[in-house]
Amino acid sequence: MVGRGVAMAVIPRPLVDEMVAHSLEDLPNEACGVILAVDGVATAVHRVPNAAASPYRYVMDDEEQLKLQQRLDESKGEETLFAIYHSHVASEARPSQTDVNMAFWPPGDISGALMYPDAIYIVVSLAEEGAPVVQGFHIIAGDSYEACLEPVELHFE
Amino acid sequence: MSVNVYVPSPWRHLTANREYVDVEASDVAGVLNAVNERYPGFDNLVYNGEGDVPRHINIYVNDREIHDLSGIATLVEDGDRVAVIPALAGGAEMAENMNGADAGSAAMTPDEVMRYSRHIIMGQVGPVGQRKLRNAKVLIVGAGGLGSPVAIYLALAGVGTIGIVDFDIVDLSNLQRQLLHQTPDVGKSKLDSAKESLQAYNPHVEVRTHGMPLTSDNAMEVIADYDIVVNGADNFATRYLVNDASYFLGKTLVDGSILLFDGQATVYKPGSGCYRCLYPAPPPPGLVPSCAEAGVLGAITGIVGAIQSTEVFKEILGIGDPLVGRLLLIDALTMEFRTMKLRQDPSCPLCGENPTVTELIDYDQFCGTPPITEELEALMAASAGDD
Repeated sequence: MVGRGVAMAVIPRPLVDEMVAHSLEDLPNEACGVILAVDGVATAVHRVPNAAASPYRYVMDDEEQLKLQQRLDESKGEETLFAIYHSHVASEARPSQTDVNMAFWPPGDISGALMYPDAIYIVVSLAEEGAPVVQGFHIIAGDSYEACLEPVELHFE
Repeated sequence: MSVNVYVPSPWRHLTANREYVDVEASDVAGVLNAVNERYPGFDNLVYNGEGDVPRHINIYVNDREIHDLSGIATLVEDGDRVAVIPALAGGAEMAENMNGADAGSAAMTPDEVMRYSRHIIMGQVGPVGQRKLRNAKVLIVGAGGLGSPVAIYLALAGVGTIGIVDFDIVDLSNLQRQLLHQTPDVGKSKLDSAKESLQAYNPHVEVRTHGMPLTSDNAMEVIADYDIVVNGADNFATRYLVNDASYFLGKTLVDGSILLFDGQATVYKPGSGCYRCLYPAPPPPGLVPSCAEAGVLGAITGIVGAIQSTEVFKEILGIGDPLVGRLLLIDALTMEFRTMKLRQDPSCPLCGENPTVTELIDYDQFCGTPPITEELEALMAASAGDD
């Protein structure tokens, strides 16, 4: 599958700081949440509780997910899902095999249908103490883990 | 009865982009069937191959998740709202570990994260360190004075596999210091008592018991399965045996000893000296009294045992400076802790330049102690065995 080409996104600096702060606060577990956009411009970070409460897994709290989803529906397309973020407490800022698997439905069917094809998957890595790394990716259908990852150049402004 | 079904955005390609679908049904299974009849393929999204709703799909009836109700048999009434939410999930963990194929690297449960949180929160441990602890296998020789605190602290810390060698019976005279055993345990095997205690402290830990004296015939086999050996033996023959076998197998040996108000601790790593560098030959039999003969302060076993378990903890995590090449001497009466530098002896018969001990020997003969016979074993079991 061919990627969408425009592999670049702008995220306001306060939103990046908020994702990093959330990730640090939720240590030792992974933190997760979403960035919503209004008219395509990233506007707000929404923290979502990690129901898995694990350093290696995240499962977004389903009630919170439902609320967010209904909020987007009610905005009639004005507000959209811009990015899905989570932290890696001890590994690199790149979606893991698990992250890729879970981006598809049914999970693991990586040549099949994506759940949120338009969202940027952001990983906040806390592997290096005092030096968090934030990177973005598009996950696309492919025949291998590597083929499913397409880096998105994030600009923090 | 009309039920309003909320379709999540990832699945709306099936429902012609409709957010809501109204269907007639009396329970959740019926609701899902009805949606599937109208929009074929919906079933494939909700059910797995076994016909169950997998755990990463949540279905709400009004504001309650059906796992808290009666699953897909949950009844619905006219005007109810049903919402289907596929979980947004992922994580650093590798996919193959999610099946529990490799239990050692599987994710920690919320219960484990909470249990170990005071360790995990420390930068030197973290989730990765906690996983190292879980994957570690530590052998403790002796479930007595030293073995007790070592085993307890390692179990509490979540060291995944703890092996214990002992063939003794819990005696009333043990209870003055041996934390693993309590009054109702008198007369039980120390291994049974130790295993029960450790599992009560932490059921996540696997306790492996080796209920026989360690000898030249079995020591290599027993020790080979572990990463680190902790010595809590009460006699010289076993100390030399454990030292030699650990050296041959390349295992780190965390040594400790106690008598009266005194304690000693050190760590031997192959290539950095061994017990024989410090004590090339055992004392003549009878010269150094045992704890049973001379006595020992109960709390000194706790001090030395806590130091040994700390060294094991550091070794597993690879943090700090291990007590290698140093002998810690503790005098509880003056409460002075002193460290002596130890150096590897080039003429050590085991780890020196020209070793003469190249395989396990007869340690009873070496130490001038009577070998353990069945008669002696029975006698030891019947009398006040120490450590």
